[in-house]
Amino acid sequence: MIQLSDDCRLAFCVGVGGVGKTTFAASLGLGEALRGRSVLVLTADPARRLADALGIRDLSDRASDIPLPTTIGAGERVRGELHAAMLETKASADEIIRRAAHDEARAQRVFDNRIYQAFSNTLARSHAYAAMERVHDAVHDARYDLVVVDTPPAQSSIEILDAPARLVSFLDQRVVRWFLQASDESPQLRGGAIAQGLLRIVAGESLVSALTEFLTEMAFLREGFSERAKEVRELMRSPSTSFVLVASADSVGIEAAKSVAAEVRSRDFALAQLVFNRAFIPEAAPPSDDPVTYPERLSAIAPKLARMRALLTAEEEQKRSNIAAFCDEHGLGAWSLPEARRPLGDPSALAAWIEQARPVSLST
Amino acid sequence: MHAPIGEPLTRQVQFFTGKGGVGKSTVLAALAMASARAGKQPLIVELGTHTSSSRLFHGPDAGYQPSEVAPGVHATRVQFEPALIDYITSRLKLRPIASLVAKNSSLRRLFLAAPGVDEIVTLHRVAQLAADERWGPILVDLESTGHALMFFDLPSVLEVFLKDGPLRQVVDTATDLLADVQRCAIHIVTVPEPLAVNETIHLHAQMRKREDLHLGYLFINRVPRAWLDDDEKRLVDHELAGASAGKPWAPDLALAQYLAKRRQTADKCMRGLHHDIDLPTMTFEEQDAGSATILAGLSAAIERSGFR
Repeated sequence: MIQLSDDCRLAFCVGVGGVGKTTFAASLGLGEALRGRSVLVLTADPARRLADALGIRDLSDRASDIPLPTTIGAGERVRGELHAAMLETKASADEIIRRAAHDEARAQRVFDNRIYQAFSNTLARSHAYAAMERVHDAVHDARYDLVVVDTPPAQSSIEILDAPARLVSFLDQRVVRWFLQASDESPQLRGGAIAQGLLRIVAGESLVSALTEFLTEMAFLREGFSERAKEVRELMRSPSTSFVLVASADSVGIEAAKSVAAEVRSRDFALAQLVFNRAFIPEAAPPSDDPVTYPERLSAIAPKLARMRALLTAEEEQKRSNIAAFCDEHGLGAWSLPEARRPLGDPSALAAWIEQARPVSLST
Repeated sequence: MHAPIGEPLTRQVQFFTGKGGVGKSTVLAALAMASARAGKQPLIVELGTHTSSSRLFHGPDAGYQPSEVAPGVHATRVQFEPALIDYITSRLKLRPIASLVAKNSSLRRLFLAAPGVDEIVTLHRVAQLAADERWGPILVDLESTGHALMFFDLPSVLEVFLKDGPLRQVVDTATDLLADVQRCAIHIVTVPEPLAVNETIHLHAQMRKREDLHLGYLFINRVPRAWLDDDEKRLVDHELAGASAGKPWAPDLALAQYLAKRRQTADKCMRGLHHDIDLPTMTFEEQDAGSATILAGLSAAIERSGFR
């Protein structure tokens, strides 16, 4: 059974689009809940996939409880809990402001700010910052033992992984200060004034003024925001955090997986698990060298049956060797999962699917 | 007046969007190959860190300056840093000063942190390439559906506080390009699988609301093969439920049944797509593994449809 280590508190599922990342994140969370943990699955992908996989009508920024079977296996009582939420950039951002502002008037001034309005609702980076805040909150929320984060497809997931470091760097007091006080004539700020002048040329007067206004309005937030960004950055490298790479095992998928793995590793994040989806079709016979003899009454379709079998066997063989090579290269074992028979639309279907996982061990 | 293959595919700038993993880059690359063979100068534009063209053509990663990745096919990757310098240069006119601005440590941190900077420099770069008459068609590979919507929304997001100034020009140029039905088309790529279809229908509905965007083609990729006809399917079901159950050949029948169901699901998905999306459509049958075969298969299919 695919599971995380007992001390894992935060797991990021990463990978390119279309590999079944969200479905896997849901299954992983479910599996951990069934073995007794209290789990939040947080999807940063605005598509409805997580709600569909868990068989619930809608997910919002606020966590929903996912009903679990009351018993599993030989009547063992299920003690865990499963919660799920979908990150909404605007809702998350508003919540962050409201909490940090402490009073409604101050929060309202931020909500009224043009920059805030323009950027809180859209754009990859805003989305990444909101995700970072949500992850921070969830990890510190006593209701959850484990947070599973389903990241959006590759490029934006890198955005999410880089968000804390970029924000810490920008919120660095010196940088923000020259921005706000560039009119000040003190020598150490003069460089800032020149830079800001150049910025006015490349970005325009109105944008720079709006930005300055925004940063002033946000002053009360900066410290806490930067503090939390630092914490998330550390959290991502903590031993209790795991990165799970979800990939497909065909040749194109493996190449994509290689670049995602390289992105993860280059940031010093620990790649803990590899999962290859759609690696096999459970209905197909295990490959064998013995030719199958079909009875006479099937002779009309026998050539087709043989062709299907040969094609599928070759395809699975190719995938197996791709996976083996990938595992050896990364020094990690993997799990391969079958192609799901139908869209997985509820916890029991998810559980049945993930139970078919086959372990792949290292050849060396 | 309509050529066999629709006019949208002959426009100068073509955006491709669709759910991740549907083979968007492959369709785009196949179209680039077909364009090159038709004597055009296709340029593949990739965003972000992953370059699919290098994987598909087995070459080195595309760099910022267009390079030839296959006979007659060029590719470029919009890397943040050089695109930023290009944008700043367009404002300050002097590249050395632009480099200094981009490398100023405080401004750098701002550019790396501020939302929208990526999208702005990308739009600027695409407009810059589009203004260069060497290239056509320009095929832009937008990553995922959410990303694409954000990208096309950017002008209206910036609209709010850009009354004038240099960014206004970038936004205007990009808006004009997107709105120009003679020059620009947005294609949607999907596969006939339930999740992808739901997302595609949703994406299409979102795009339809935007009257300034011009949708081109719907590409349905990886349509599973129809292995069995109806009689054969009935035979397989009948055998599996009776005489063949538990026999050594039963797994082969089960596989056949499975593949038949997969095709059935795909047919249902395609009916759903035709029902909800009224775009001209091209379908591509599933190809055997191996990116070279896939590419060759798709570009041949495009040429068969009368692409010129």
